[in-house]
Amino acid sequence: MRTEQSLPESACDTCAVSLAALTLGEPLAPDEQTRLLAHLARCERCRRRLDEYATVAQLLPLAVPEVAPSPELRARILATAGGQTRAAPRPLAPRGTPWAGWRRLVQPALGLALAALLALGLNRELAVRGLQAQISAQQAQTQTNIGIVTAAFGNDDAIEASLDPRPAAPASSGRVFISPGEPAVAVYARDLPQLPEGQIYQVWLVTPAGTISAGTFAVNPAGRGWRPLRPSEPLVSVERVFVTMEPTGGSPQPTGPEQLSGTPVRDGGR
Amino acid sequence: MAATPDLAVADDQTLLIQASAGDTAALGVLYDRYGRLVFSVALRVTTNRESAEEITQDTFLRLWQQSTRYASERGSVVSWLLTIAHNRAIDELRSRRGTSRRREVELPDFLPDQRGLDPTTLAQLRIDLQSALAELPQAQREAIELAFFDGLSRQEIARKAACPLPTIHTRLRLGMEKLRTILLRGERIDEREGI
Repeated sequence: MRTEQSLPESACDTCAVSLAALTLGEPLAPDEQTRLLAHLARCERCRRRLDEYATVAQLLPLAVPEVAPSPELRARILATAGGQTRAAPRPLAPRGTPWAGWRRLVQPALGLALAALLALGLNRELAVRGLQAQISAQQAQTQTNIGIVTAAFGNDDAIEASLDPRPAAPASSGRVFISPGEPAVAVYARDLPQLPEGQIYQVWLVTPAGTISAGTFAVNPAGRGWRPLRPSEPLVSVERVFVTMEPTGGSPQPTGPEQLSGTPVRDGGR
Repeated sequence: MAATPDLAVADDQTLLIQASAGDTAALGVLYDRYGRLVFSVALRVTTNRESAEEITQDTFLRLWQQSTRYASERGSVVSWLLTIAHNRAIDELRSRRGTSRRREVELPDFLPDQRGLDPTTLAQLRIDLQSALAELPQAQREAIELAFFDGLSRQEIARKAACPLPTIHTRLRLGMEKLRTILLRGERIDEREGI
């Protein structure tokens, strides 16, 4: 992994503007995205800033004054839900876990998608008064994820591939960044079909030694998923990358239909 | 004899698990906890009650449909609900304006290992946030609100405020810096910058 450089404060200020806009919901233009990611790859301070801005942004909805919807809305929602086919309810365990007293709000990760795409995921947690230890534990996980993605994007041996759709997922697309020596893999996909119950997407790397799993990921309701992944051993080379749908938990070898596939090429800029 | 489920005091994860098994009463409890907040966010953005109710309904039905997966991932229900509702509302707003741009930032999947959020915490967070926003100079607060709740770009905010784009950049940057300092580090700002 590249070492941190001492960066001029103005570069961080420029980055902070982009981060503020991004976390507040503005889609960034491709050139701004590229500059932002290049800066984040080198600047740990701004990676923390992204983490914290995203946390702040996720709190903002709490600022709105509360207004009650119509009384009929609840009944409409439950009636619609009840009309959908679901399994029969199972009985709850006896009451022994009362409403948790944790003063914690765990924030979902923020995904970042670019034309030349690097998905940067951050886990974060907001501790309220006296829960700094929980923030530290969560930030450690955040830093791990950041480290994986930074390596996949920024290491000298980094390679990348467009992921093209296969017949099972004709509308999908994606991108993968790989640092074989680290090893680190960052995969991003969009417009993938929603996963049926009990299924997960799994990333496969075709190497001279065979096909190995790089890990699994799910997609959000919009069909987008991203994941920093750490293969279990360094990779000599990667000839092809593909994504299949597998049973939850993943499979030792691909069993499901391919969804995406691509051939990595070395980044011309490195 | 099996105990009667006490859904009203069950944590969110338990309710999700019940919902994933088809228990609409569990979904009802989640709605009772967070429906008003979700509706309020959608209304603030769309300024239209009908749209806000539609977005609220869609958000909870999405939770219902995805409850199996989310129950297994143990995420923050309220965070997910607010994120989805906010995104949908902003997309509708931009669509109305004819400035619809596909959101490149997709909000999150759940984090693992989340524990429940009690009503006291949510209420306290609301107080903390409103207090933090009140400490911002008005121009900074307005810029942040225009970006987040009105879905305006920096260019659009600059036009609306009739000031140069670099000024908006500074307002957003300083505003977010102050909010993160106040909310995440527990520090108070003694000086204000009147930008």
